[in-house]
Amino acid sequence: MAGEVILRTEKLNKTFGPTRANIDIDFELRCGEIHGLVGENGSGKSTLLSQIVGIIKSDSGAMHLNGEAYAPRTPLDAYDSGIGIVVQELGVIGNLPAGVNVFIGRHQRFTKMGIVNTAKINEEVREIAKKWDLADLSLGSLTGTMNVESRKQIELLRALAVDPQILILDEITQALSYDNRRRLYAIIDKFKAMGRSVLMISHDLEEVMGACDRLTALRDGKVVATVRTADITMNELKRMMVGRDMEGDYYRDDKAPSKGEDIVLSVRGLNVVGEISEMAFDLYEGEIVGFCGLSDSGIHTLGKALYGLSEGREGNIRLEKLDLPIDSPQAALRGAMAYVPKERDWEGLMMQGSVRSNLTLPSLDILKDKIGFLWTGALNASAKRSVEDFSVKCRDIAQEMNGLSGGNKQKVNLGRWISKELSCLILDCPTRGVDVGAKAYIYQLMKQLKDDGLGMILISDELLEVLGMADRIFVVKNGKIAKELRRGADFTEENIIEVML
Amino acid sequence: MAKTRGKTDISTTTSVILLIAVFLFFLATTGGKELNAISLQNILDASVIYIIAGLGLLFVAAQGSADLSIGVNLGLSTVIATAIALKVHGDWVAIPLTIVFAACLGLLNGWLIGTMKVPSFMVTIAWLLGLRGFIVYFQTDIMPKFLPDMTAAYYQTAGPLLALKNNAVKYPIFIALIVVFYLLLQHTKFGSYCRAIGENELVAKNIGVPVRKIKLLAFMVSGLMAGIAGLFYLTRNGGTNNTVGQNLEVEVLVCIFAGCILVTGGYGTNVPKLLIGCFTFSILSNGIGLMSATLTKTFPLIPPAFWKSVPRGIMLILIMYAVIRMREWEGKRSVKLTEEDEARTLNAALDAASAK
Repeated sequence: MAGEVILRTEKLNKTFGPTRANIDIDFELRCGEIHGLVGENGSGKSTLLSQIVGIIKSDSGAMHLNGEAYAPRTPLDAYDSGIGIVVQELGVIGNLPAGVNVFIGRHQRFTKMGIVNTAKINEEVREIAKKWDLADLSLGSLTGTMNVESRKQIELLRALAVDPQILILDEITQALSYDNRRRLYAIIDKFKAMGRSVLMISHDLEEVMGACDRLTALRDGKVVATVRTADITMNELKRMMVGRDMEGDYYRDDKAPSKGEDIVLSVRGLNVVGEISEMAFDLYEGEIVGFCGLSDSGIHTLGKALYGLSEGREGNIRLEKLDLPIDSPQAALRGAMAYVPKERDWEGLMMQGSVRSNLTLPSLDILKDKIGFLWTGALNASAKRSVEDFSVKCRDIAQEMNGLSGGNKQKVNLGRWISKELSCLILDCPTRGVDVGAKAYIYQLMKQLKDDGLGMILISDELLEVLGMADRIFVVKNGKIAKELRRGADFTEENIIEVML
Repeated sequence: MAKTRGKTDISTTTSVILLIAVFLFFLATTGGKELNAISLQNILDASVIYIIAGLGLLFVAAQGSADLSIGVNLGLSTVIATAIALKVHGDWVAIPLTIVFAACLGLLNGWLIGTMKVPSFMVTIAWLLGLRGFIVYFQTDIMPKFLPDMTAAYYQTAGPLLALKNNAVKYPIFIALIVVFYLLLQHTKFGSYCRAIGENELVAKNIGVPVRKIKLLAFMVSGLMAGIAGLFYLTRNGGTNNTVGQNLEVEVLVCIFAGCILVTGGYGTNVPKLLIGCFTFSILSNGIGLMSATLTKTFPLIPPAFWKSVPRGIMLILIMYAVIRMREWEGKRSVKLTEEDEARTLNAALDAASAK
């Protein structure tokens, strides 16, 4: 029945070594509600989720599902109890076809004499996709060859395949583009209408406020409060998460476009086989140009191509001041361009490298002495300065990247470029997977760089972010620029979505 | 989650501890023979070759690649050096030509691996198998025909190469090589880029590191140093044979691992670790040699070859096990965070995993 408690945790504790990651967590999920878990990186929300789905075993405390004791030992136990999970730790197996991945661990039903009937699996998967109105995927292709978004959809299908009473979604929307996000929201609404429950984690507070009925905020491993979204404002929510007042507005507050006199980067006739066709635009000093589009629109390829990276690229990209054609990433580096890729952890940072080596890698040409030698003193000084300038929270510059939180990783990812004199900056989803504090910081930094006259390209899946920061927006559809919008009255979500879909 | 904790790299100190442990073990088991003049000379001689070849291989290892062709490269280079030296009677021709030849073979590797994108393991293992036959053919068929008067004795009587026999020449060159390649690996852009590629090739490429060029150069350096090691080898052994340089690539790799350099390369790759690893391995090989003499006497029924190889293999496994254990131990020790910091770090790691 709607309103009844379906899942309850009582005084859950989890300790890693000397550390208490979760402290006496009391939490309730009701039937027919969309419940959001919010908190900064390191607040313990992922730990709580992992306990609920059986990835991590609790040290003490109890969980009740439908009034009965519930103690999952593996995620499969959770599935059997009617809990559908989309969390990254489970992932998908790259070398298996997409369809098989949906029923992974639960193949008995399709197995006869040790042989798995793949056709039957795919048939059933298609039925599930149809039932929940999800986009068609090629179920026969290997999951490893699919993009992040399709993989997420496979995970979502897997969660839905158990016909769950509770659906758990961990940061899934960040990986989805606009159209698939809408499909997901439709599924969430359906769940609610059916009297079932959804538990979601998201860094996107606008999304959480919009989609959820109730929110539980966590901080430092403890529950701060559980509130109804109708009863609080965005600023109150941020205060709950961070434990202090946040600046109210973190996007730009000016309503008109502004830019410098000179063109920084000119792009003419840019083509990338199968991804981008005939793109042309100019980037001015002190201007932020935003790019929006669906997942397959080619906006992420554009970021790579501008830095001279994509294979099969044609056309003219030119740094006007230096009169330098950008035909390779080496030329881009020489021309003091900067590119911050979307997949921070495997495209941007050396996760096992130190904070220092990550910070100094793009600046070796500047840091070497007259003869060409790089001395530890110069590297350390530069890294220390960056850590201070961007207030990166780390033990010291020798600490491994892995040990930093998402927001601090992103600060390193950005800071290593900004610490030197740049000609232009290409940002692909710069606030992806960072908490609200780091997000505000990054926007602040962008505003400052704009004032200093730096031209920036902002590629993002989050429309509000682009609307909030850009001077001009190019809406991209099927690899082509479909519309150009200027900051002002035209700058609305509707105007973008209309063109983008 | 475990992999996100603590350090994944091993410190140089750990490799020193390992070196001392191996040294003390053989000092005890051989009753001090490890310390006599002949032993020490043998250890040093073997180390010199390993270190010179290793200095080049390090640039490849830093990228997480392997160059298994350095053994045959060294072999072929020495054979060629000998032939040229004897034919034209001039070391001054032979020395540069040998080095150029070895570097060219490295360049070819670099091109196949960097530009043609064939995995380094496959390319270099093909050379390892293929070129050995060429050495044998050269030694047994070509050389006797064209150079019937070829004798190993040549290198005991004449030639500027012989100067390398003189310690006053040999060791300054040796030390100069170490210094130069230490600077190149650890204090230049080239070296940093090599190590960055080992950390994450995609990241390096995305930043603008010319990955193809760096690979080409690294394999060239590796080949070049195999050639130079060949010249040192030649003067030490006074000639060539069919098996010259055999197993060298494996032995140098073992030296690198014994020095606690990771197989994946990266920023933990450095020259001091190589030096320590080479000595660890040379001491081990020498110690096993000494022990095998005693053991053969004690167990006359078992052939001496058994005592030379089997205990060495067992010891190497023990060393590699120790390396891994010490790495874990170091990892645990290095996590000295406050409780709250640790909670944040762990949760952040979880969040990062879910955000990926």
